[in-house]
Amino acid sequence: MRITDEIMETVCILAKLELSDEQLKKAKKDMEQLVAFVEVLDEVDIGEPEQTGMETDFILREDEIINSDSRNELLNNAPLVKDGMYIVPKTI
Amino acid sequence: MSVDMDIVNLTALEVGALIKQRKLSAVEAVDEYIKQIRRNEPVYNCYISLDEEYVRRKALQVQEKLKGDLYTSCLAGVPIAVKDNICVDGLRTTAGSKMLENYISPYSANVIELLEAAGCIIIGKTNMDEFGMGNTTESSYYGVTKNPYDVSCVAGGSSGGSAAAVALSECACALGSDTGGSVRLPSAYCGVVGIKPTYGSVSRYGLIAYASSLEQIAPIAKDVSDCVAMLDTMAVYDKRDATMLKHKSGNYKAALVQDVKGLRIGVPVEYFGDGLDNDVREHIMEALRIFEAKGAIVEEFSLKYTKYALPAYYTIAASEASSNLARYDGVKYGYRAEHYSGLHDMYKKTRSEGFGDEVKRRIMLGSFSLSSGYYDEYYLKALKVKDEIKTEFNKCFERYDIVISPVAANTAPYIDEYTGNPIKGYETDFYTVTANLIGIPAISIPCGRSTSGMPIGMQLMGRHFDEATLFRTAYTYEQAVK
Repeated sequence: MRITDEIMETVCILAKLELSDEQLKKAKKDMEQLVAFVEVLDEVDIGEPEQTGMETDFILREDEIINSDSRNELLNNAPLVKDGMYIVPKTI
Repeated sequence: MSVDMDIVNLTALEVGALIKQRKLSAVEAVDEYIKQIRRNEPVYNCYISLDEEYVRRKALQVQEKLKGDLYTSCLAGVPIAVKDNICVDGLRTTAGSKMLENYISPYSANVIELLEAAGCIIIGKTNMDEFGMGNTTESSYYGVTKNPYDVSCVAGGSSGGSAAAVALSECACALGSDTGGSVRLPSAYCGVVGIKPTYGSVSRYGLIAYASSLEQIAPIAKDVSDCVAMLDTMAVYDKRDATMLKHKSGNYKAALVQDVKGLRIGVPVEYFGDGLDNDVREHIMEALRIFEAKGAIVEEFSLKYTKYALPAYYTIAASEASSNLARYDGVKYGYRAEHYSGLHDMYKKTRSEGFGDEVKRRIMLGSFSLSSGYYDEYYLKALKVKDEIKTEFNKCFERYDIVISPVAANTAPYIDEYTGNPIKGYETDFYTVTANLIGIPAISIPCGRSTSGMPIGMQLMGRHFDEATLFRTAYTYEQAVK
């Protein structure tokens, strides 16, 4: 199928990516090749495929707290922190 | 104790035996591997992170416990390398990406907990294609890993650093992860052994996710026995991974026997068509002659869905990747762009600057496949084709115990050979993706060298949870050609 500019715009919004005009041109060409590559699946006549899941018990665990408090360790990896909170640009 | 033997060229089990016999200490062992790393690293670039002080500290702790006979494992004291998408508490874990360049993991993966409890020493974090997306290690933000046999060639990927480190004796053995062949392919290119276990047999807790329904952490080692020892240690049920199955764990050691009498080996004609290098074909045919001479029954057959595995894989993997990598937004960890205006602009700039081209390519393909209007035609279709492939293999395993194939059509490609042509690179995965799609175990073992001296690997695939038959077959071959 043809990859249009509108499709690329939607894909970039979904992927949360921002591309320059040159990058977008190349990405569009790559996308066309990739989509053509996977479209060979259209050749497969899918009837009703057999159920291939394994028979197994649904494995659940007790809803209990097993983590220790690692708040400080987790905050250490954050780009911007203040008063024990992650800082992001204002949204309201 | 004096170290007058060439420790680094021993297998992991041989190193473990020397340590158990107190002919070698854990500290001496790591010192020898660190020397080897310093000799090789400037050329080969197997490691992203190596903290010598951390390693020696860990070795001293292990040595104290060894003195008290506190370890029972045959791998106690053995230095292992870990692919840099597997979390180790307190160590930098980058996934080969700028996005996680400074991320220090606050916890260890389940497999790390198991291996450290057995007395293994993590010697360093190895190079990889960014987030596991690639098969040459060229997409790593930290440079390519070169092939131990020819520095103008790649080591393969995405676990290129781990495979090359084993081949170069920069570690006794290593961990990789295999989503579409990422342990088997570099193992073949580097002349070492790598096995992708059955999906659900090794915990993914602590593995940085790329495609969750396809990937498994996997051992890479110098021989089959070392792989068995590692898998026996790693394949233990972990309730923190909801996709694990409560199977009967390990004891694959019992499979280390030389016996293929009556084993039925299937040879799919689709894997041996045009496009396969003659050297690779000849070496696998020779392996089949060895198996037949030892009593195996070898038979050609057809797998008609073979050519659809690769497009199905790339659709499913890219779709899952687009979801798994949505977490990288610059808020809680990882890279954040310096200049942005507003929250969504921060997300976009962070991701556009933090990810490399291959990762962005796959995220976009995945986002497209999952999007409204295209979901049924692409993603759902790929899932249904996957089910057809699984049905076909289920039928094949009613007749055969093992399916054999090449790992790749050629030996390791040159660096930059696929630059500008991503599809050509993807086609390398032709032989390996099926095992990931349908969750079966698959092993890559060296089966000789090409006329130019480059390693060739052959792949054995087996039924779910039948790693024992894979190991028995691989071990029989390995001993026959020793």
